[in-house]
Amino acid sequence: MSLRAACHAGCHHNSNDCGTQRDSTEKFRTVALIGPPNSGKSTLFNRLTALRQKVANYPGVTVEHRTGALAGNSRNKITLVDLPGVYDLTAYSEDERVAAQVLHGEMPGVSRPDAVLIVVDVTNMERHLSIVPDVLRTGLPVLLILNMADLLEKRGGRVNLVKLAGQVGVPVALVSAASNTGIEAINEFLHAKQSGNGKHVLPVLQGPAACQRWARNLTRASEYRPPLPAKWTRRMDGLLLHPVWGPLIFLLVLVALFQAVFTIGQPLSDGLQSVLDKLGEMLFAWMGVGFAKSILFDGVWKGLGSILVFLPQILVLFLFITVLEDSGYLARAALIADRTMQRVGLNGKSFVPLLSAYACAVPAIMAARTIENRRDRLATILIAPFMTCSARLPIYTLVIAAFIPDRALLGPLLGYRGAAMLGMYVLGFLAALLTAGVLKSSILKSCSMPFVMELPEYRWPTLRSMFIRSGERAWIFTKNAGSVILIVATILALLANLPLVGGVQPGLQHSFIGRLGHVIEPVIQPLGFNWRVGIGLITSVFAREVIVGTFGTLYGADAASRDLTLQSALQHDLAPGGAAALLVFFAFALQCTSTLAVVKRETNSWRWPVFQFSYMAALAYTGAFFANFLISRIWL
Amino acid sequence: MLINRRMLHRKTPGNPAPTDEKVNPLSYLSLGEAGTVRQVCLEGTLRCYLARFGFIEGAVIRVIRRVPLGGLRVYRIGQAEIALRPEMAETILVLRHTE
Repeated sequence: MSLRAACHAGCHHNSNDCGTQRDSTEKFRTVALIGPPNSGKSTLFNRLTALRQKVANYPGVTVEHRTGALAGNSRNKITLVDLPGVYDLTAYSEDERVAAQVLHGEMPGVSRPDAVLIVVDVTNMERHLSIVPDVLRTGLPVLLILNMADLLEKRGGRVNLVKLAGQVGVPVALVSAASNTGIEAINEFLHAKQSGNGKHVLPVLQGPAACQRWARNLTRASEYRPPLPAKWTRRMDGLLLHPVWGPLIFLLVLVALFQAVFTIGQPLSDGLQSVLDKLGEMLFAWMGVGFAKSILFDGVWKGLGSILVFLPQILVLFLFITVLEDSGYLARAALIADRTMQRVGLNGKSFVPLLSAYACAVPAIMAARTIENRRDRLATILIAPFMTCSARLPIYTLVIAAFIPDRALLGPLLGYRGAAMLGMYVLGFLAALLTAGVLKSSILKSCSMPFVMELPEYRWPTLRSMFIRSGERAWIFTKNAGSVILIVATILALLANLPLVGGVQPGLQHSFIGRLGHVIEPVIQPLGFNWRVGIGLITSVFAREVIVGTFGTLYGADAASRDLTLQSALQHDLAPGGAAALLVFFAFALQCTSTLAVVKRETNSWRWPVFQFSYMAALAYTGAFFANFLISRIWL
Repeated sequence: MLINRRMLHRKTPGNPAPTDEKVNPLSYLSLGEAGTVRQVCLEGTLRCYLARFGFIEGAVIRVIRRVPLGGLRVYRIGQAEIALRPEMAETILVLRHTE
């Protein structure tokens, strides 16, 4: 239902501030979506553009503007701009600055919008409407969208749209982006030629408190009956934020996550390994034995295959993370972690990017834009790469499966391998906290920040969302394997089979790569690593998971280990001390060029990424040295 | 946006602290208790920041939950549930509802 309404006498008129610059017969070209956090803007954006912008159930998912063309609109091209969530146009944080800049036409590369869709959560209308005066003041044509209409109806709420439109002086649409209802009203607004001069009657309001009061009065005047509180959310919070059960469940969720990587992911991974082995044998059977087969099958295919087999584990991890993000539990986890974060000078707001970093540090570093204090934001950016991202999963899984027995530790709940994996995640988190504590008490010292967080209602994660997000991540992983890892594997395979001596391939020890490995061996020997690991450490500077592809290529190129599985080859090649050192090294080192690039972009300087890389490399080397030393002593 | 102890306990100029015995800091309210905000003893951006979440004079707030492992409490304002640290809750004076 869409309604147009004339200006209402209830508001003060401020003719200087209002009025649009558009010609009344012109059609919209750029339209911005703005609204409070977690009001469903990105869901609506996806619905209108048929794109797959990330959506989740916690405030601060969108931290930069995204553009997309309105779907099914070939004649009149309209670009929609999805903006980060804001309560008003006063920018306290970097993501809020993005929203304000786009709306004021100050964002380089984005045209000033010529209309605005204000998206508010109708179940929380009283508070969300406070954004309206600031947007009206821009003078742009506005459609006020009351999203989540399905929830309002389901829980017995209602609103008189005619009265609301009359009070605000702009058209109002009641929609549900999630269930795709009421969308036609938005299309109608976007395609209609604007009649009249488009001027708004503006409330003259000073500050957010006045806007809140205005919104409250407006809500009353529009006969708004608030929906009944979500009983399900109350019951869930009664359990998940319970003084005893809450932290226990939090711990159980983490344990289940890491154990599932082995319990569910490992058998699938083994199955994929057999499929890839058989496929490789079939594909390369016609080549016989020789230089070309050594390069293509033993080098490139085995290198690629050794990394692709971790796809099931990556999928399992992302399915879990999507459930946590979409259900609304992530925001509760941030509350539980607030006290811990406070002890190191941060707050629960930093915990949300850190939890996202379990998937990948790059979006996590960008998510730190929601943190208002610059120094807190910088500290969060600097510690985010310590969190165990999915790129560490292949090397952790490989080394743990090779060296830790597959036995139960706590019955069916937790095995030794799951515990070891959990230990690696805890180690990364502790390193992050320790670093934050050091930074916040020295170079990034600042006053404490007010921590205020709105809790979203619990929602069932949809299968569609889970599969789309996990599928996207799997595609990124596979694409990475098909680009960086393919290039590295090909170069390594060539270097491992050259120079030819009398037309014959040299042994791996005497190949180019073998010689290079022996040159760097003295530096890494104190860590319990041999030259093969050293080559892996060099290639994995591009991306952590490349080390597994490197092992696949190197062991595949060596006649002595060609017929062994990667796990068996590692067991023969590394002592337990070296294996522990390898895990610790990967927990601390920053081997990811994408992360370094995004840190440079977010901090606008090379100083911080260089500092971060050097600090983490030093910590990785020292940590690995002590891990090797201690485990070797215990083992002896 | 930065806060320190001095700022937290400063009263808004020209707005004397309420003397009514039922007016207490928000942090004094027990679980399940409700109150109406009488005064937010903060200035400038901090005051505006809290106002965004509905902590304004006249707003009705109910304490609905205490978060485990810390001093955070969850408050209901209108339809929203907002988590706030106790040191911030101390700066919000509320008139206790008698039920």
